[in-house]
Amino acid sequence: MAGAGDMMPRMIERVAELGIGKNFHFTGFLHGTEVEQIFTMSDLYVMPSVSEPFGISPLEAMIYDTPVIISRQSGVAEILNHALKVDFWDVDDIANKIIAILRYPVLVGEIVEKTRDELRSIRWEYAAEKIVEVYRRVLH
Amino acid sequence: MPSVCLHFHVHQPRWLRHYTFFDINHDHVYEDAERNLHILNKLSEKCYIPANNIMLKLIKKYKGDFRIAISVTGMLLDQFEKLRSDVLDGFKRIADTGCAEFVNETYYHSLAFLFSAREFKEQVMLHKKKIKALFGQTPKAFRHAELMYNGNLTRIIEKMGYNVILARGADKILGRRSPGRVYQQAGCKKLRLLFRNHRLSDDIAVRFSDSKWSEYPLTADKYAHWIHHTNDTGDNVVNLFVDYETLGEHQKKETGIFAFIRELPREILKHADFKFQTPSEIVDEYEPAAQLDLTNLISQADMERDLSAWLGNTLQKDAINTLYGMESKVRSRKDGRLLNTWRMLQASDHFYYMHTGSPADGDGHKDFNPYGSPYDAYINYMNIIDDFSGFIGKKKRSVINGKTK
Repeated sequence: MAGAGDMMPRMIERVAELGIGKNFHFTGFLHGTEVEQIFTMSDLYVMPSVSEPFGISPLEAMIYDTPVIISRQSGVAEILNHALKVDFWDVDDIANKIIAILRYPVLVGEIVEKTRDELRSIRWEYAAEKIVEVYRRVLH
Repeated sequence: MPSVCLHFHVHQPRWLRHYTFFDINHDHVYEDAERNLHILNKLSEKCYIPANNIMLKLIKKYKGDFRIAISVTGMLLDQFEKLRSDVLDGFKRIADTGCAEFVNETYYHSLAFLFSAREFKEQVMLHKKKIKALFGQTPKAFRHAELMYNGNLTRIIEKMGYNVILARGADKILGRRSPGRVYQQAGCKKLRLLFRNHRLSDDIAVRFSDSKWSEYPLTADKYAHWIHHTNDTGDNVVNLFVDYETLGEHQKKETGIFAFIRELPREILKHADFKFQTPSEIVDEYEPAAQLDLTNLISQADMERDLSAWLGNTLQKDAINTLYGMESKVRSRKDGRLLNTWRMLQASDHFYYMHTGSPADGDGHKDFNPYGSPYDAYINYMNIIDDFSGFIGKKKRSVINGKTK
């Protein structure tokens, strides 16, 4: 579990309560090269956000060829086609997909390959052009 | 005297259940029976019943001058038998008129041809028997799922005693040749090839209700005019191969598709030179315009490329190879139900849902995925395959245990 936030103390307590602490790492907030390191080490990045206006971290994970599972309730879910998507409340589906990534290497291969193409089409410039286009249409 | 060959393909994919990792080794039911029944009922009301009624009326009205070719997949015939005998009766009545030729294909809409010669032949024979039993015809025309074919398939199908294959006319095969002729493969004696006229078929199947299309709205007399025009080029057949579900499902009732079909025979037959014929009648009447050397032209790899929407990515290949890798294990169990389950999982639709690229040309209406994403389709399918694989092994052990007791 990477990062920090208000929920962290409660999560640590919950993990301890379930007795699964030996399977969990709480990294706390990660800086610069640590972010790079953690993505490189990971088989999978899960962002099960309850609410996320955009959520840029899945894009960072994808740069390191790490497949991602994101909640449909995140903004970034709208622009990514080659990520696995889940509803944040559906824990069975999240578990099912986590296990699928770990069990089916072909799935990882296909997602990573398609993700590389997809990342090329996500640029601030393109987003800015779209917004300029909307202004143009409204003004003319 | 040019002939119009109107061929309807009737098939419905069966939906698999939402099957998660937690179901593996616990639940061996793979199909979503409730949803499949719902879809079957919906399609029966919207398409199959009204379409069958129209076909029957048209056949009677034109007293033998309106003729069609139909292929209903075996897996759908099974469902009609079990759940909608009224629809099946409609097809039987159409068969009884003698104006409809029933076309043979693989029973489970499968791509077995590329993976197992034995399985392919068994499925074709199963479908043949089914057609004989239900419609009283011994089929002489064949179509492969997705209208695919290659030199190998053509040779095997000729050996199996068929007269004609209905196929997809790819540019690289036909070149500048027209799909409006009868063709023969070099080396084949009796067997002929009929190629789908993509433009005219897709005018109905794809563009009919597209209000942005320059020819919208399409009327029967305008369309018949285009068909009559093919006469100028010296063509002698117009092969219109469309899904039966075009009538009332892909093109909804409100688009006027039923009225269009009702008027079509009259408009086409207005031109005294034109007539409707079934595939076998056409190849009896016309000599082949040319011999195509498919042996070098269409390799197995080409066929796979043409099937790229079904077998193009690693997910699809992994899933289908895993499935066919189980063949000997499944067969060794000698259990009809297990064999049937394995065959249900062969339906090409399952692999189409794992397609990660843009939809294949001309298959616009198929751009629909019950899983939401190709990755979800793959995960669901692989979880099921995993369970099925374990189930085959486990059951065997329990039988052995039973005997030793």
